[in-house]
Amino acid sequence: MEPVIIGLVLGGMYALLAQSFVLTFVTTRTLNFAVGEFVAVGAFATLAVASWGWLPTVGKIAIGVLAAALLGALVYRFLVLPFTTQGEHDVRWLLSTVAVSFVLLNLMNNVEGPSPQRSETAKLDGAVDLLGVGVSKQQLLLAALALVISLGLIAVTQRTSIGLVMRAVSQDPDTTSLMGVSPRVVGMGSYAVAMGLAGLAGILYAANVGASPVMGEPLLVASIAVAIVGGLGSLWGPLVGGALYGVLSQVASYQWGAVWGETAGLLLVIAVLVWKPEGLLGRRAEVKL
Amino acid sequence: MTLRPTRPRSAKPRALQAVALAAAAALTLSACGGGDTDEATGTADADGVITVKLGVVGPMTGPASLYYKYMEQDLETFGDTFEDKYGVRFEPVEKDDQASPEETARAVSELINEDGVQAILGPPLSGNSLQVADTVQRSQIPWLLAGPNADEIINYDQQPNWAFQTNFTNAQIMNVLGNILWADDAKVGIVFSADGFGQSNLDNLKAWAEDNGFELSAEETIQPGAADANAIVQRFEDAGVDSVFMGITQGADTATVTRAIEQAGYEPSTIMTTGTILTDYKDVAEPSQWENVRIVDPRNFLEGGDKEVLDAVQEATGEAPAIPTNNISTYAMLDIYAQAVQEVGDANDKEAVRQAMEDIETVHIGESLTIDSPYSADDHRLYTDDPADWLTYGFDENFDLVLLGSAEECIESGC
Amino acid sequence: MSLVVEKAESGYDRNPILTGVSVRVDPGELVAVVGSNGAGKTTLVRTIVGQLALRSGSVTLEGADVSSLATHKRAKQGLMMVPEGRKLFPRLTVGENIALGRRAAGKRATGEDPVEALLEAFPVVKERWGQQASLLSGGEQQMVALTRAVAARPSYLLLDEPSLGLSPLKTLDVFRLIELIRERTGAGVLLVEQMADQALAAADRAYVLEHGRISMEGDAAELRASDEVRRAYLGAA
Repeated sequence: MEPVIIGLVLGGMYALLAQSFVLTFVTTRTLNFAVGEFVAVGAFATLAVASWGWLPTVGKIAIGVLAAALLGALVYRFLVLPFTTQGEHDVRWLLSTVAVSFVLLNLMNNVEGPSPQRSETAKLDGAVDLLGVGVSKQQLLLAALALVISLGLIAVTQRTSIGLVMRAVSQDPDTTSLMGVSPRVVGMGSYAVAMGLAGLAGILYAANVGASPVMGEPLLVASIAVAIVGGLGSLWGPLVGGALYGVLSQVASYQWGAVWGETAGLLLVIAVLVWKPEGLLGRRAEVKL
Repeated sequence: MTLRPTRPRSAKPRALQAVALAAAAALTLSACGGGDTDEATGTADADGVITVKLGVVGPMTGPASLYYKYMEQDLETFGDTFEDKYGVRFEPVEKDDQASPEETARAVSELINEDGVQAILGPPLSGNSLQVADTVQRSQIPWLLAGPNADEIINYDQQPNWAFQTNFTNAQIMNVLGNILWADDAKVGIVFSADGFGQSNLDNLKAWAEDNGFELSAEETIQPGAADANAIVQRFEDAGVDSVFMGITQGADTATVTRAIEQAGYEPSTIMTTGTILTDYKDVAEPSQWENVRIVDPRNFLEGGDKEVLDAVQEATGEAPAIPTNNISTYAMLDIYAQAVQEVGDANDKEAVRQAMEDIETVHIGESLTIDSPYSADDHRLYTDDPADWLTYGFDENFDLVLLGSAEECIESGC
Repeated sequence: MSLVVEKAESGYDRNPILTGVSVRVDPGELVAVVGSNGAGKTTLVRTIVGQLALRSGSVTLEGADVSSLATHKRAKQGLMMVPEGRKLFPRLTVGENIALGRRAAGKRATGEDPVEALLEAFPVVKERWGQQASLLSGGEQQMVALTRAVAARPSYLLLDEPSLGLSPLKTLDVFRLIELIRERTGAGVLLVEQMADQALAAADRAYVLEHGRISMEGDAAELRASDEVRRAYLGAA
């Protein structure tokens, strides 16, 4: 039972970041490989205002989220969009987002130094008993947020006008612009939301591991794995992928040791890629001529 | 304290900072020389002061730059001390090894062949020292190893041997740790990071256990940056481990393990770790998690000569000692070398200086600590591996070190 | 006040297609552009909405030069295109597709909703309201695409090959719908068609596009009657 519960909780955390990959992918067909650094940006921005006593915790979190979101929008506008202009096979954005990752990492190393810094914002100490299993409150919070945010995003896309536009863009960006919608604005918007989510994950994760430039990197592999397993094209994907990946890797860890945890997770990715490359909930990409 | 960042966290150099640091250092160091001539002749000048051209090599830039900084701090802080005490002035020739073996080899060969240094201090990282060990030995130049812990750097089959260590070695600390971990025939588990440092901890602990008729009950790796360690702790519990050793490179990963231990309500009787816990751990852990964690070290950080060295560095540089253990080791090393040069009277007579180092009678650390005759031809290590000579430390709620007695006491009556 | 294309030159990378095309559509007018395959008809409408950049020349909408505006901005000013192949959002429902059109109307959404009239005349669209667009037949899809464009309250409507791939019967329906749209919305319509006969029959005025330039223009009925057009485009011997 324990590995299942811990796995679900961990999977939830990965799902939050996986959601950020899915969001940018459905609307812009790009992935931001600097997500790990946006995790740190959120954490550091919140850390910077942590000492403002007059600002409630929610405000501090909001500042971290907004900082990451704003930076995300700018990165899309100036460093992703210009590298997607040559059609579907133009993948220069891949290199430019990796470059963003390097630059941000260097900047943060210079400004903040490499050592983790204690972050007390939104920190929950101790563990709760969940069906007889001790679960860290902090991680439970992350998992719960991932669930709530994912369901929220799904509701938004299904029920609101903005969501309708998002779905339209994901299906046919050219025709969407014929409907008076700016693809650039949609892209910037989804990058903002996606990176805001990454920042949020960072703020909450920093309470556990401290804020440091490299704090997001270790989460990246698992999050991409979760996004792929669930399917990059579906907002439900991260939830399903996170649960599967989390439980499988934990069961393997408990059974055979931690080395096998990650290995089992990656084997799952390979299995999915072989058997259903679009992800469990994904939709086979339509090839446009 | 096996403080070796075998794997810097990122390979992206903090270039600006490093340049600024190097510039500042160059200024202070040249300022130390006053208006005197920079001619490092290795022999006494008119005032009877011998100026030694000392090669200093280490990761000036990059994420491991603290491992350069401690040498700089000591030279800045104690330059005058050694000049007053022994009439020896150090004129450093600084080289950046960027924490890479290739750059280390290049830097060391430049120091020897182009700069003609009279002794070499560094590199501080074991792997890089190993890389140049043969070169330095062949070049017959006193090699001042104040940082590295690896035993393999010195091959005592090669005599006379030119390398001297003032840090403890891995085999030494393992003997002390092994005795503590397996006290009362406890079941021992190790959790080690999946990198060079972790692996060498595992290898050394296993080797010691084998030599002494013990075996490990559990071996678990932790990936750098792992999000949790619940499974590791569970597997320790399942294996009945009651004595845990954490050989983990990053303090943050150590925190992940101690957090999981607390979360699981797991209470092993002994939790030992290495000095790596001193960096990057405190800020990501809670007092309840480090309550039972212990480290061992042959140095006394809380009083006496070791502490004097650290205080002096703090006072002179206005910064915390970069790597406290190595700040102390460097002091001891410079003390040994300066005495030897004074005795010989000519730093160019390297073989005589080497011999004087090997025969050193009294090593001074700060004002009040002395270590007598540490070296012999086949033992260039400052410390012994006798648990009676080592100290066990715990941590108070502010994560300040608390001296719990000698390692021997710890073995006999728990700590 | 009109939609005016002046000496437009445009095309693809190394392949100029339009070489100085001038076209004009007045409010409420139905203008046909006929021409053979590859004459540049689709290029023309894509240039007008901004999906292809002008190399020279201009597009003005109600007197304002929109040549450098992005596609979505031109759409917001009331320039709507129904692209070749309909381009419905396949996994949105019919209703959602039309809702996207409505969204584009923005401030122009005043007065009577023309969509209602269309739905009344062609109830099939309403019947399919909750279905995924990809499940509709070609003719139904074209109806939805036209309705979606009308929902945006266009001042000018560009129709690219609306009869493409439809049976003669469905084509008839589409042309009836186009007539109705013109009547109900008062929009100027630019109809690009290979089915020259029907297009000319419906249109007020017409242009003949040949190898990227306008070879003839004038009253639609007159062009339809002219020998040259009959020979080249209407299959008459």
